[in-house]
Amino acid sequence: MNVVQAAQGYMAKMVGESAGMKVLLLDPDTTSTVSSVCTQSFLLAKEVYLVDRIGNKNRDKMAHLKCVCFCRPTQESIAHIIDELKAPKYGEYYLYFSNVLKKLQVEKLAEADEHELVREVQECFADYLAINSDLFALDMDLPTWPLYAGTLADWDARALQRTVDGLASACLALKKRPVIRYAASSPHAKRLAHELGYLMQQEKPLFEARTMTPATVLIVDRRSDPVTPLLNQWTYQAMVHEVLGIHHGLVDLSLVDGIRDDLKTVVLAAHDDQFYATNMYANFGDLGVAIKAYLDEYQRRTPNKAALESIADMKKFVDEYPEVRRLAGNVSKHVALTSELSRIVDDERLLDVSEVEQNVACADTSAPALLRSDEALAESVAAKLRDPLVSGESKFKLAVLFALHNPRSPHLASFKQLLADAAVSPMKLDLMDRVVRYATIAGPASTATGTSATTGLAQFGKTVMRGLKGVENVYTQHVPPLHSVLETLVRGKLKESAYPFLEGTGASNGFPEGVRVNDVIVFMCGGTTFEEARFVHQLSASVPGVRVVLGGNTVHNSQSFLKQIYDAFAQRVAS
Amino acid sequence: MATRSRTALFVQCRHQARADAASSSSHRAAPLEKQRLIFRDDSAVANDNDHDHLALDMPMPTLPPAWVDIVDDVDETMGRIQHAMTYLDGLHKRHLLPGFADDDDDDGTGPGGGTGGGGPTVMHIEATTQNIMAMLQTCSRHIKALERDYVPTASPDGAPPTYQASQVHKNAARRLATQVADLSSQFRAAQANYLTRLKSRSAAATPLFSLSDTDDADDVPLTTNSSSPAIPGASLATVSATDTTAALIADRDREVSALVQNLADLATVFRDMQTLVVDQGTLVDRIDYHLDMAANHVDRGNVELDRAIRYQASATKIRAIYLLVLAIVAVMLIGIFRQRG
Repeated sequence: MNVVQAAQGYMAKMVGESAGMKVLLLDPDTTSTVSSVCTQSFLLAKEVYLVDRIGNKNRDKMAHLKCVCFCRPTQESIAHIIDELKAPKYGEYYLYFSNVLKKLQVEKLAEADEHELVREVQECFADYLAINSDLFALDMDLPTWPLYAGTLADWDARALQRTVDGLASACLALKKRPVIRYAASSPHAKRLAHELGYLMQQEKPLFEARTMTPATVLIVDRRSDPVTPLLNQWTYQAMVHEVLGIHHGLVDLSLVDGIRDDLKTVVLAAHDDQFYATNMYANFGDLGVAIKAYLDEYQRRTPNKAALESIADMKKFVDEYPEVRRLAGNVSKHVALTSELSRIVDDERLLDVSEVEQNVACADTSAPALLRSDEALAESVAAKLRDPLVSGESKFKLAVLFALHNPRSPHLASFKQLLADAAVSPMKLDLMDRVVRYATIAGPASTATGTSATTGLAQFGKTVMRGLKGVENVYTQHVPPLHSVLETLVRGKLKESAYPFLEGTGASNGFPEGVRVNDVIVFMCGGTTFEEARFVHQLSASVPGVRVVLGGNTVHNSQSFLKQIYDAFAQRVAS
Repeated sequence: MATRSRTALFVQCRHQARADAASSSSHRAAPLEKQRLIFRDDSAVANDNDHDHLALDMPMPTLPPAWVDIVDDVDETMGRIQHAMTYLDGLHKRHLLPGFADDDDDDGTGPGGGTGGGGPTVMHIEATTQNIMAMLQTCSRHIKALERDYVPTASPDGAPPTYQASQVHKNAARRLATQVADLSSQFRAAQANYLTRLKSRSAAATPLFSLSDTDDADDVPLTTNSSSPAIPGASLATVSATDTTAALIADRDREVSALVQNLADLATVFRDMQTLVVDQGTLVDRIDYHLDMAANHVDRGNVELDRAIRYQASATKIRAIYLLVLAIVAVMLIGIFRQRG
């Protein structure tokens, strides 16, 4: 169950089916899909000599080229293809679509194909952005894709359609027939589950094919866990995204002081980069050690100029030159990234701030006996809010985290005052309350996880044990609630009351409660995070026979998450 | 990964659409029937296929550019190289099979390490190796020629070669270069492997003389004489040691220089290819980067056009200003002369 491999398989099929010189035409959606799994050299090896956009009308007529066209079946793309077919520029056309084509669209295309140049029309379900082998996203960022309309319980219609299409295509790409379970406490998840079920009904022959195996599709809502996106991260991939931002697999380093020209934008892709693949879940300390080892290896392999004397050395140099050159580029990329991360950690005092954040996030709300520690917590937060060296962003995040931890705390007013003193805009101060409202998904209990109930006593017991045992690393002590949900699901003990099956699937498909589950596709409405991706990856690795894939509307860092909440309230949701 | 083909439905719809178009146009064109008949006669199309006249008004250049032939040639050569390399591999394996030392071809492998009876001759291996070398050289020459000489020229109506045509040409060269570079490194690796195995086998068999321990002979990496390397020592186990030694030293010198030449040649091939090969895993290897470049290219073209237009406009203005200034100076001069006169 590897989404990157599935997408690459689709690409290989598309460009490999015809021989001869080819042109690849893409639309804006499929460009990002294709760029994240496929390189220019791969295309060149398959004789694709030109890549362009379907919307670009200024293309030359080159009848000796064959055209492979890969688009999402949107109205715009179909219109562009129709224009192209009416005034064709290439000798033959092979049309591939990343999602289901409606009969009407096929008819319109057929009508437009006056010159009968189309040889193939196929659906290749690669309608998602493959980020890691077990993480995909649908690239639904603001401002193009607002998720909420009207109230927080309603989907924006366009966003819903895109999400259903994307999730269905991910299932088809992995050849899985969904057995849908959704979080009962979330109206969003319920709606998405129903839409997906409806799509499955409509495309029954596609989903019921013999090669499809069943897998549980678990739909959860970001609103049940607003804490995870706001925390500072300390593992490589998550940290780069939080601090610098990874967009379509690219990191923008152009604002870094003294950066080399060829490092202004760097590529971070696990399927191409061995070092990154081994270290993307490593924490910051281990990462430093790994980079040092990598540098040493590079220095060992780079030949000293003086040593190129005998023919043997020359031969070895010429043989290893491409390998060494690639290594050099990779080493400088990772060194630049880590040094920038390190600088930001130092400048913004992220270590101290993160410690307080983690304490707030992991503090337990349901144990009244620990109320005293609550006071201590509030005091530490206040101390950070007063610290002039901490940035406004971090202070705001800290206050929000505390508000989520205890929405009725008397300290919030003083925190707001401290934030106002630190020149945080009043718009943001309003956002604090709104985040709490965003998180209120199942009534008064603010951060309901909906796991199979751990009673107050059990929770208290856990806290005491943790206090006694100590924590391995205070910076990574937070465990997202998704992790416990998945663990119970895999053991077959996820309660149906909290996570019901969609009617028509479930028990009838041989997945009654109590049966161990092997393949899971988790989709988080509202967006997922790299921290959750890391836990999913570790779960798959630790439990034999279990494969979990995580997906979301987008991959959040704290900025994008706050922006989403702000946008939801500011423009769409009626107060 | 699941896919679904809609080709059948598409073809059916297309057929339907053609049939509808034919029937509707024949209904509509009843008074124009004569015209259409005339048109058809002129176009000398003798069947009732309705959309032939559509196919005729597609004024596209259907011939590919000249460099496509070169690409085909290089592809064919690379196919032959692949075959030859697999064949050579087989030859190597059989040559290395342990057998009885009764084979007398000018092997130089000496006692205890000879090839089995009926094994491939050294000349054969050498010939194949030379052949592969030559083909690699040819490929690299073709690619260089392709890149340099067959640059897309201006189209017949005088417009400069478009960005897209030059991109296609460059990418074709790049693909060939990558493949040739891969083949040549594969070849070198196979040669090196073969040589080490040969050396290790003969080293085990010939403990006596270690005349072959100089660096030069050890590094025989590439091609040509795969048999002579470190084995001369073995054949010295005869009385005419000095004579053979001298001959061998001369031999080895020649070999070494030939080798150095080969190394240099292959290195040149390699270097040339490297300039074309795209670095994998970098930004330049990203598809969206290239799309943005193409878009920027068009934008920059527009900017240049605007600038050109502006300069043009300002050029006229400047000319007018010069003329005026000249006129003023002329009038002043006339005034001065009249004053004097």
